[in-house]
Amino acid sequence: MMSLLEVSGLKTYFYTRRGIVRAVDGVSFDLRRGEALGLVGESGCGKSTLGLSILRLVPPPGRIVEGKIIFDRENLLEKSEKEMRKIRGKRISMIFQDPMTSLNPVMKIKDHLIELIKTHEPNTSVSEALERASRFLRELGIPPERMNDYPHQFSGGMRQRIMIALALILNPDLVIADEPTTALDTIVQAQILELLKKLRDEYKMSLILITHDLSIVAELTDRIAIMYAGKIVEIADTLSFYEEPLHPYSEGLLKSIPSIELSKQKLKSIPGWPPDLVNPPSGCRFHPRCPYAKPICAKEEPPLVKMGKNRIVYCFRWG
Amino acid sequence: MNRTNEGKSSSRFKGALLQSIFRFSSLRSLKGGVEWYMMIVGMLILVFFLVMAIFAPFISPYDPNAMVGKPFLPPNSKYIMGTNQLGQDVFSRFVWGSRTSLLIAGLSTVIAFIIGVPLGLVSGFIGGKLDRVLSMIMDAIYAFPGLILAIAVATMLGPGILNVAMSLAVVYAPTYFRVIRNQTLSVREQLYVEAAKALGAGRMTIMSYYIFPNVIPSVVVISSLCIADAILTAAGLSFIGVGISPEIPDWGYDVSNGQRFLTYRAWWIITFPGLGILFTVIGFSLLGESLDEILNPKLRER
Repeated sequence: MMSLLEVSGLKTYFYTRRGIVRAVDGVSFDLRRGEALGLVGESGCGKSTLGLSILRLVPPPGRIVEGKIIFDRENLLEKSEKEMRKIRGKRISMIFQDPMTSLNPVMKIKDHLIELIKTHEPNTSVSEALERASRFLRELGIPPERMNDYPHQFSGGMRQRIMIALALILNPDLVIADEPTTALDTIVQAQILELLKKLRDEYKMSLILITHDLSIVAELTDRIAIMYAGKIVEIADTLSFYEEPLHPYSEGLLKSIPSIELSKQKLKSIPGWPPDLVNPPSGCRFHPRCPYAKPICAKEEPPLVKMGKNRIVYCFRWG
Repeated sequence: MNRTNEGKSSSRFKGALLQSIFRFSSLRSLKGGVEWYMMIVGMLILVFFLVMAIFAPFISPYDPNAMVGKPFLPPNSKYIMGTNQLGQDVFSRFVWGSRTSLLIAGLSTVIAFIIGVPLGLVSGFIGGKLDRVLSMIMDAIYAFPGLILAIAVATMLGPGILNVAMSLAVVYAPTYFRVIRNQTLSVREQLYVEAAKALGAGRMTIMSYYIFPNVIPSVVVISSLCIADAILTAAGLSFIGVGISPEIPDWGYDVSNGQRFLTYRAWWIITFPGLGILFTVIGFSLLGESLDEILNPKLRER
């Protein structure tokens, strides 16, 4: 199968007064058509910046410094802003974390949808767009007659459904969901995940699910990429990842999930703090917190180790 | 003994009165719709003056510039608002003056809006060097005392209603610019703007559909305040003689001119045009505040 998205050696730096924040520092991965990838890491590890980099929406003072983002055989980093605008929303779209503030408070829901459709397909008439919008909203569990309401008249879960509708109505090839359920309560979380799953099966789109919550990626994704301090440390298919995490950081993450069977066991947290991305640790960035650290970890960057098919880890333990 | 009782009961009465007023007002705000009453009252006041301005030739009994009676006549059946120091009919001047005041206020607001709002939007949205330069210019203008700046511009432009309106617009444009720019800066960072970008919206779309409607409610409020202020500044200009020539009746001019005669106990010369200014200002404020609440869909639901 051909890959839809191929990111290689991507570096996105923020040039702040404190120094250069290396939010994304040499990230490479690929994504096949129709595949769902979970991008997991703790807050501040650069996973959201990675998502924004793919859309070329990194806010200043951030800049993409190096690398390639090949989307459908074309390098997005060589495209003009105008060409990028045609891709955003139509071919790659994004769902944001906070549904409460990601809709324009003075625009009705139908105007959001009509504007989106007319931006990308200018030949569509308003009534056609409206028709399409109402059909799609019904599919997502929103009564079409509520299209005349304003965003604040909806609950958080409903708003996230509307955001999903906006992201999916033009049937994009790739959807980047940046913590789509973090701001919602558990029951609504489950509904939204269920909805995403259903839509993914139906529309065959690729999905990058950015999250810090390992428990939600299990059901929804085919593969998992673990990110730590601006770098990807492990990529594995979801099943084998849960069976046997290879990177010490992944292991720590899995141990810190509460589970029903292990309720008597104490939860283990990873000792230490996430590193400062202005002055990241030398060598392997995880070594100050790693239980298996060897002297070499502090000196050299860990090598890429291939384990079986489709499985990679950056660690001296396996290399 | 008797007195203390009386005092007690009167204070109790006061308390009860206050309470009932409080209850009444809080009940009304609970029911919602106060803003509609505000709007209706504001509109009524403004429509009243607008009708007066439009039909001035039919309403005013005398030529506003002609000497029609003895000077300093107090209000009577013939001159219902009395006559001024030149024997002109204060009522006729009052009626005609509404024309000038509304015209100047309206024009200056429109011009200030046209200058300040687009510049503020672009400056706040695009940022960078353009923003710095524009902000510096606007702050420099803002730093001048309004009346003095208006005098300077009006002197350059010469007298006339349009020129006065322009010189007032120069004074008030920075207010619009600053409010719009600062609002734009905060709205620009909202997630819905980023979401719009992520869905492929262009700069013009974002400015006109996402930022402009979200910053405009604050303009409604400041414009009602600026209109009020503009009427007073226009009066100051007329007083100094760089504004409108005295043969055009104007409330501001009459107030500034008439205050000299307060010592002769001729209160009517300034009271009526003064009330005219006061009510116009109240009308605009009521309209502005109520529009702010009605237009903003979020506030409306509260």
